[in-house]
Amino acid sequence: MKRMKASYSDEEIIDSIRSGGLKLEAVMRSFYQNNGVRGKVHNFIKTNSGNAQDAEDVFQDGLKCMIVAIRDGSYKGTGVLEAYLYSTCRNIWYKKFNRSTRVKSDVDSGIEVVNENPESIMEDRERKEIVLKFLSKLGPTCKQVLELWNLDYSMKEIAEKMDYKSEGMARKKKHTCLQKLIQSLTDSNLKSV
Amino acid sequence: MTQEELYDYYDSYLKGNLSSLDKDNFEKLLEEDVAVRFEFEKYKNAIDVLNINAETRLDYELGKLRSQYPYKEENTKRLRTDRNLYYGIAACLIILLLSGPYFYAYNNYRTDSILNNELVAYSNGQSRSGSDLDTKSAMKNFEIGNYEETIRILTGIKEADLSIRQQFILANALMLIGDYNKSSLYYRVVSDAQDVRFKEAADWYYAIVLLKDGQNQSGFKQLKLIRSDRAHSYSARAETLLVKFESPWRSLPGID
Repeated sequence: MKRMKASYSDEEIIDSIRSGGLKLEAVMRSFYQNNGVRGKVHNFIKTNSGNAQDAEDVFQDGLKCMIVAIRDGSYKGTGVLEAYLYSTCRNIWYKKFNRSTRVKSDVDSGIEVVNENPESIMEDRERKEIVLKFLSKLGPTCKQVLELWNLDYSMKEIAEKMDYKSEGMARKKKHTCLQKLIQSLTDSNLKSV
Repeated sequence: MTQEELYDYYDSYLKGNLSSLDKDNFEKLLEEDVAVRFEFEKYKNAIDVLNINAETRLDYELGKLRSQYPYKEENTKRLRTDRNLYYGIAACLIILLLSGPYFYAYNNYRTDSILNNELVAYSNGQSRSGSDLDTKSAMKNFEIGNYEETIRILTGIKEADLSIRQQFILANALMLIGDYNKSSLYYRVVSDAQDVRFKEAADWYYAIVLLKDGQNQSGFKQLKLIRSDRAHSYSARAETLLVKFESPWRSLPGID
């Protein structure tokens, strides 16, 4: 089992998430190995009508939101990162929980929830399904190489993960796979997903 | 420049790693040269696809870590468990004491047959009548994306006892698991019921599931119906969808 670094500063976490690759992997692992925020989220969810499964779901969603926000630049970097993650998790839970309490307390407001949800869920799901379909067409190796490259794994890290002999080989494979994806998208005339 | 180098260049541009001079030059080239713009758009489209997939990949990686490092409860768990055990024993003793008189005068308290009938009805499912509790439970499952359980709860209720609200939730859940045909039947009922709370949404989704189910002619008709009613809150959306379908570039089978 890989060991985590004893502790990361906020700057180190943010840098690692932005760098991607194995550094991102190590930071994600540290959040799961260290019970700090995870424990706080569990306590919060359990005292707010949830169970351990809910807490784990919310923690995973919260961590994902934080990583996406840091990577796409929407995280502005003010305040302590742990507090940001914790409040993201709380908001996720409130959003889920408030919706169900609103339904409980007011029959009419329930319609808004039911009304708005299916379409956005379907659109999001369909978008992801289309994307998955295109990537699957490339074959599992190509799909994995492109996914790793997209998460900023270096060519050396991709070569290690995929058991390639050299970085050069990983680079060549990535290029071939990217070409295949571009060709597949062009053939299908898919403008946007 | 080889194609690989060109892709690296596109990548540097998208990640903001080009110098301001290179960036300006490249943007100028994009404006002037249609062929370069076309090639770049194709590349960008592929990157968009990978970015959409990145969240799925992150979810997969986080899910792996989650099962690799299961959450360990703090030491307080043991204390809580012990306390729960004592509460349980105390509750059993109280129940035994309170139920004593019932067993003592068993023949005078033949309520069990009535209770049993109810339980049989409940476990048979189909003969169970719908309640507020079912709606809440179905709704809670729906909220967390457990559509199969939502359907299981609601289809366990006798058809005639399903409220309009329950039928609407059921239709939504069926749509989300891809059972468009069944879903359309429930949307139709809800739509016909003229309940103002659900009517317009049911009209709209009825059209959507008909199209999803391949009943294009009926779906198309339903959309036109919604569009014709300008007061309908989905009228504009129906219009947008119809414009797409009526385009000569996109024809649906079964539509004249």
